[in-house]
Amino acid sequence: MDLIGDFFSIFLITPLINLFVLLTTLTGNAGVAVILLTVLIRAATLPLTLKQMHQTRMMMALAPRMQEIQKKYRDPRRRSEEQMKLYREAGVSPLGCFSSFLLQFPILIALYRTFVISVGESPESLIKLSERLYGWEYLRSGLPLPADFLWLHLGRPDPFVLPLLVATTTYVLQKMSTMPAMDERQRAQASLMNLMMPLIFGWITLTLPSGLGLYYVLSNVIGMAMQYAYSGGGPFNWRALIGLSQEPVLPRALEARQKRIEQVKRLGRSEEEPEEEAEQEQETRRPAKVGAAGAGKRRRRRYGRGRR
Amino acid sequence: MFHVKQWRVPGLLALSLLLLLSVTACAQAAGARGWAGAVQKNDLLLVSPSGGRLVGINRDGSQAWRFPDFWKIPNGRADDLHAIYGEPVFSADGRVVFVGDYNGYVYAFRPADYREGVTQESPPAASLKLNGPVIGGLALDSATDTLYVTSGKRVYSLRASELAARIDNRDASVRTAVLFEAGGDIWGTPVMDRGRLLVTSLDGGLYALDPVSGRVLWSFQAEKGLASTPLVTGAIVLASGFGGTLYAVDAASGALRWSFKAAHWIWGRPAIDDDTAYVGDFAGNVYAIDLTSGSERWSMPLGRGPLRASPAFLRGTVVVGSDDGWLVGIDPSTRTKRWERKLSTSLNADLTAGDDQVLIAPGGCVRPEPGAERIYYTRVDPVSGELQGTEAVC
Repeated sequence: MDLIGDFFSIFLITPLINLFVLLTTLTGNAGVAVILLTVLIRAATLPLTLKQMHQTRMMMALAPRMQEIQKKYRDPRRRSEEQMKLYREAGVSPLGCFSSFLLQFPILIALYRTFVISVGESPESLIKLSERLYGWEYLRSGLPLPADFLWLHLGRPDPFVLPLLVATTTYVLQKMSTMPAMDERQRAQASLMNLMMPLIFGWITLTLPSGLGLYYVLSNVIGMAMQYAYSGGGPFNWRALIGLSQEPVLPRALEARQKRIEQVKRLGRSEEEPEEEAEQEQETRRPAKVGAAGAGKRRRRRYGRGRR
Repeated sequence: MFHVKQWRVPGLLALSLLLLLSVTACAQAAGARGWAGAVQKNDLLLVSPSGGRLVGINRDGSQAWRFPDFWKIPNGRADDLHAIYGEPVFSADGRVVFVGDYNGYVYAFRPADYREGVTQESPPAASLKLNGPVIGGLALDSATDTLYVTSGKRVYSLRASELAARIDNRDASVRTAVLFEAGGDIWGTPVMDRGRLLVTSLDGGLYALDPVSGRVLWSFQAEKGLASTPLVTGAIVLASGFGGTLYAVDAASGALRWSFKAAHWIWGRPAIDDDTAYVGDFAGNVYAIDLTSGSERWSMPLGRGPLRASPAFLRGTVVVGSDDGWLVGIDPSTRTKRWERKLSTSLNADLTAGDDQVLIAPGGCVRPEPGAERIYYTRVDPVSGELQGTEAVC
């Protein structure tokens, strides 16, 4: 555990602290530094975010096929095998949807430590900060960091506005990311998620340094912009956002999902297609050990074509 | 195997809970703990061995009392102390102890109200809420019965006797006034000197205030924040902080006499021996500085971690404590280490020269050797480095 903690500290927390101190010293404002830090982190995790968006959309597109499998196979083992087969064929990882979330988790903890140490109010935090800074004297020249930004002290929790902003932006981002559910059970689950997650994050923000809350709000806003762009732009359904309509918040995303569903349907028929057979023939001419893996890759490539 | 749609809701909720738990754990690890220096009053030694606790230790090492544990604080919100940074002060008659906490409260209690094995009910203590965390601490002007308390960016003045009266009458009024507000937080203890109240601030200012009106008599502006408690020696005031510079300012006018640049921050007050000031910095160096010119006589890299605590000079030895838990005795005449001891706890509280021993207040109890009882060290012999402590407070 110590090894993991040290690794986490040396390769994530300490660089983040130094980056935050550098940005604050350069700009003279810790709030501006949080904004820049958020943009940098979102840029660094962009490939993973895009992958997660793609995987989520594919999972939604696979949902009708999944329901078919559930109806068709009563044996749980066989059902699971068929489901995993479908995932494999579509080039989707069941955990792919969580990759971005799982990455956010250590980043959030590292950022929490960054803000507690960098703009923490206690004198101890300043000692910890001095121990974490790299040898460059410029980094030390701006300490103690100015922690005030707008109405916030970035080292202290904000009791009202920021938790509200965190909850609201989390809610909007979730609504933008999710499609209307296919059945009642899914709809109930989605409703629970759409309410519980913003409430949990809003509640947690009550106890966190405002710097982390600010990061989360900005990160959500960037996520919304990315989601909007990924869905192809178009109109924004405000009625759906506040729950007055079962339509998606981004109607264009529904069109994209329909295309995916069509692709998945073609996947089901593809094994009988002559083109596929011809390709398979070519494949068999290659060494046998490449055959099975190559077929999977080929299928994934085909699905990857219409990604956006 | 699992189905993703079924797994998603409880999975994400579980992850959120994990996040909450991690954050809570982190919060505990990063909290304020305090570093109040030890105070000796007759046969009683006052130390703060853990965050938000003050312990009275008898001469024989037994525990006399523990505040706030053995007291009853009528204001329910006030009984949760976080961290004590400033040293507690005694009233002029020595019967009442005043102490400020990071939670923003200042307290008054009578140690004599509690007697081990005799007192049946918890005796009452008084509390008063101020605006911000009390880090700098308190100064008492017995002549005017005024208690000066730093809280956030402010210095408050209040009647010490009125706060003490609140011990017996919880509704007793305490006249409180904001004497001064600086541009940054105040982390140094205010010091009364020749009718002036000296205050340092993280805004870089060293202020000499009129203790009645709060008017600024003179001020000195440093390049970076000043965090040390001002030290008056002869006609100069010494102050230091995050620029790594020790400033010597004329006590009458506030004019800069000289400055000394160290390798890193100087947070503690210097220890004075005749015309030499000894001070440590955060890079782990100890400096001997000529008090008349500000020039360096010698320096010594200890490599034992940041030196936050003020050093002490006693019986020809400079004793320093480090954040890494090292206690080192230095012979300034030969510029060599006389001894060094490693305590497995931080030594950030200012060291104080007692009668023949240096008083220390480590961050907690330590186990001298595997299997031994935990002990809280309170004194060190400056010549031999022999430690004295008590198991009673652990």
